[in-house]
Amino acid sequence: MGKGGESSDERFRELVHRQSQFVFRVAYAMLRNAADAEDVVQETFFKLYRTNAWAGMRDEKAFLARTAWRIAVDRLPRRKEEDLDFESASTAASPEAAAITGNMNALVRQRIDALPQELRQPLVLSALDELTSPEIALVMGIPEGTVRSRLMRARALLKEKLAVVMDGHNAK
Amino acid sequence: MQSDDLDKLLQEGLESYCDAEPLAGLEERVLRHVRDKRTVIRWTWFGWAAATACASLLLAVIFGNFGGWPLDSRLTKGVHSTTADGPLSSELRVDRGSAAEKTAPHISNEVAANVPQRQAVHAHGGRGLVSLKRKTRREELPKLEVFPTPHPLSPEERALVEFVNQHPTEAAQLVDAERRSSEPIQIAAIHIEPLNTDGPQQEEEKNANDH
Repeated sequence: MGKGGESSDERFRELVHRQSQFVFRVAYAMLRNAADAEDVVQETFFKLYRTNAWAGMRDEKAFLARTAWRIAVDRLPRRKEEDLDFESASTAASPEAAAITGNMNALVRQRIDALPQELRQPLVLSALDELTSPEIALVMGIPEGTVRSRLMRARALLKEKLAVVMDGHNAK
Repeated sequence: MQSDDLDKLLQEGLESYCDAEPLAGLEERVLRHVRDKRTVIRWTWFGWAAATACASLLLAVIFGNFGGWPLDSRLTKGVHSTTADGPLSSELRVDRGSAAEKTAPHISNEVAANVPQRQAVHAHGGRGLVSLKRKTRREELPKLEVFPTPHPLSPEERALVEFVNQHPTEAAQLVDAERRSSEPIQIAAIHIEPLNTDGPQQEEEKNANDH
């Protein structure tokens, strides 16, 4: 490999060191499985390297997040089918049972996962501090206003569901 | 439950979506994965390139051979058609060779000189060489000074020559008889006496006079 190739490899190595954690978090937010998220990270960087798309990207984070998000979305239905029993075994208890045991986080996650994908995806991406609403819009390829409205709807829906569960729990 | 509590609860739940940390050495694993895949892709490309080259070579050999056979056989027939006449073919080939040398020695020399070229062209076996072969063969075919090509004697002709040498008189007679038999038949003019047309009474008188 020539001098240009070596410097290119060096820059790619730096990119991997700089952004692999962020890409992992995006993938994990979508898949909620560390092994799957790491597969997505590897696939994302290999895809960038193969297509040489990384050399010309302007918004590095948005570009990487979009690539990882698309790969994760492709894996999403398959992962659910494969890992439904294994992955959700610990959170498969009923909302009431989760509330009784005080595992509120598990209850919230269960409700979030039960949301429709169009609401769930912007919501979990917004949980990442690194991504703003415009960047989420860029990642998902939808207008920023749509992102905001979906986030509001998702939060409102979750609050409503959680309120019902919590009121029932308090009544008991 | 108040809205603020729900917001807090929701926020805590969402934080669990991004609090996961990968196992140590993620970057190295990613780089190793990219490197391995790159190597695999390179070998795959190399494999395809090699397979394509082999297939091309194979096709060239196959089509080169199939394209060359009919021309070769045609040429061979043209050269040997004058020799394959009967059981004495091997013997006659020698005679014909000498006869050909006698009649047109430069022709046999040219053919002999071109045989290695033809074999060399055939050994290449490439399809692209077919046109070259045709050109070469056109050059190979001798331009004869005598037409038709002087043929060596057939067994019957040889037997006839031997007969003439041993029995020249009989042969001369045979030739003479053959020549005579081939001459047009001459028929001598027929002379017919005119018939007596005087009538029956004169004939009776004549008969009576005779008696």
